[in-house]
Amino acid sequence: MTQVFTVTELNERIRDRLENDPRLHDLWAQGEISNVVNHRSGHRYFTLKDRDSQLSCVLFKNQGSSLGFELENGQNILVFGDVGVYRPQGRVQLVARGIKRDKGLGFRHLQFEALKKKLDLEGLFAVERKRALPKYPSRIGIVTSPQGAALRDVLRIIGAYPVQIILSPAQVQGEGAEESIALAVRALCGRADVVIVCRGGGSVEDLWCFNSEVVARAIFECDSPVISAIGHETDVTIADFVADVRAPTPTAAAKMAVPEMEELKSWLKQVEIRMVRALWSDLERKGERLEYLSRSISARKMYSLAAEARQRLDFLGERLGGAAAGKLEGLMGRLDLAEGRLEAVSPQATLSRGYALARSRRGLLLRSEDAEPGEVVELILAKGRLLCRVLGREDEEESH
Amino acid sequence: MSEREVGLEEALDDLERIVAKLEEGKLSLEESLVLFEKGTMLVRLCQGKLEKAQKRIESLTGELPSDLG
Repeated sequence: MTQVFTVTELNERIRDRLENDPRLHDLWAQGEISNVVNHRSGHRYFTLKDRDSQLSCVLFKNQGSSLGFELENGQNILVFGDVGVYRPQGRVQLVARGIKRDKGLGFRHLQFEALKKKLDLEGLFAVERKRALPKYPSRIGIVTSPQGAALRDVLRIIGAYPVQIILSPAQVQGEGAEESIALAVRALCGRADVVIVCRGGGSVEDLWCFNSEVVARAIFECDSPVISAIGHETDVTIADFVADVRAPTPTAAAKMAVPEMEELKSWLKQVEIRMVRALWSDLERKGERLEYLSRSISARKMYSLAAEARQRLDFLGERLGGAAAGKLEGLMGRLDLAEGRLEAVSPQATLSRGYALARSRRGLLLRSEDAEPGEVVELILAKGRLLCRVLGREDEEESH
Repeated sequence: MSEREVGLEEALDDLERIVAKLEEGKLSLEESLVLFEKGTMLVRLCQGKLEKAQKRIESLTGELPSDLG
C-alpha cells in the first residue's frame, strides 16, 4: 500500500534520516564562500561552493561570535559542523560550528593548477613565443587602475623619457575585474609598442583576477610584448606565466620598458667619440695609400677630413673635460702626425718645390700618350695656371 | 610636428648601424664622411629630443586623474 505523506511529514523524515547519520556529523567541508548574508538577527547565511556544486550553510549567532574574521565572498574556508535540514523550506544545509580560513590547497588553488596546466599544454607559456621588448619604444600601453599607486610608480620611472603613454584603465580587483582587465588589454591592440599590465600589492583574493583565463588569453593575443607586474615579488599569477616578461613590481616593469635617460645621454656622447675614432683609424689605414692618392683631388679631401676630425676632437675635448679629454690627447698626437704626412704628400707641398701638375680635359697627364699634339693642356703651378699647346710628343717605352 | 620627423627609436637604431659600419672600416672615404656627417646629425637630433622631452599621457577611456594630467 502506497503511503501518502504531507510535505511536513516528508521533510521531517528526511531530516531525521540525515541528522541521525553519524557520517554527516562533526565533519569538515572545504570550499569557497559566496552569497554571504549577515542577517540582522546575527546569524550568517552563505553558500559554500566548489567548481561543480554548492551547499547552503548557516552560522548561528552564538557560534559566530568567536569567528575572528569577517566572512567575505571568494574566501576559501574550512567549515566544521553538521548536516541538517531546514524544514520550512526542505533545504539541506550545513550548520557550521566553526570556520577556518583555508590558506592551503583550497578550491582556488586546485582551480589555479588546473588552468595553469591547461594553458601550458596549449602553449600559452611557451618560451619560444616570448617576444623581445623594444629597445626604444615610442608608445607604452599601461593596463591598470587610474587611481592606483602602481600607475604612479610606472610614470615616475618613465620620467622624462620621450614616449607616448596610453593608459587603458581597468578595474583590478573585485567583481568584474577579470573582464575589465581583458578588455583593457585588448583595447591596446595596435596602439602600443609594449604593454605593461600592473597592479600594486594586495591579498591573494585581490590579485585573483589575474589568474583568470580571459586575462590570460587577452595577454596571449596582444599584438605587442607584454610585461606583467602583479603585486609583490612573491605573488605569481597566471598572467605572469603568459606575459612575455614578468617583472617583480610595477617599478621594475617600467625600468624594463624604457632605457635609462642618463645612460642614453652618455651613450650618445660615446657614439660621437667612437665615430671620430673610427673615422680616424680609417684615415690611418688609408694613409698607406697616400702617395697614390696625392696625385688626385682626393688628397685634398683627405686633408680637410683630417682637419675636420681635429676640430671635432677639440670640440669633444672641451665638452667632455677631465679624464675623457685625456684619452683624446693620444688621438690628437696621432692626428698631428698624420697631418704632417698629408702635408708632405699633398699636391700643394709638391708644387711649391717647383713641380707642376699637367692635365687635359680627360684628367691628369701622367704619360706623353695622355695628350695629343696640338691639344691645349693645363699646367697647375704652386701659384696660378698656364694654358699650353702641345707642340710635339716623345713617347717612352715602358721600362719594366 | 612634421610628418617626416624621425622618431627617437628610428634615429637611435640608425645611429647604432652607422657607428657599427664606421667601426667596421670597410667604407671608402667618401662613404665614411657621408655616414659621419649623418651620424653627427643624428646625435644632435637625439640629444635634442631627450632635452625637450615632455610626458605625453592619454587615456583610452578619457578617464585621467587630475594628478596625472
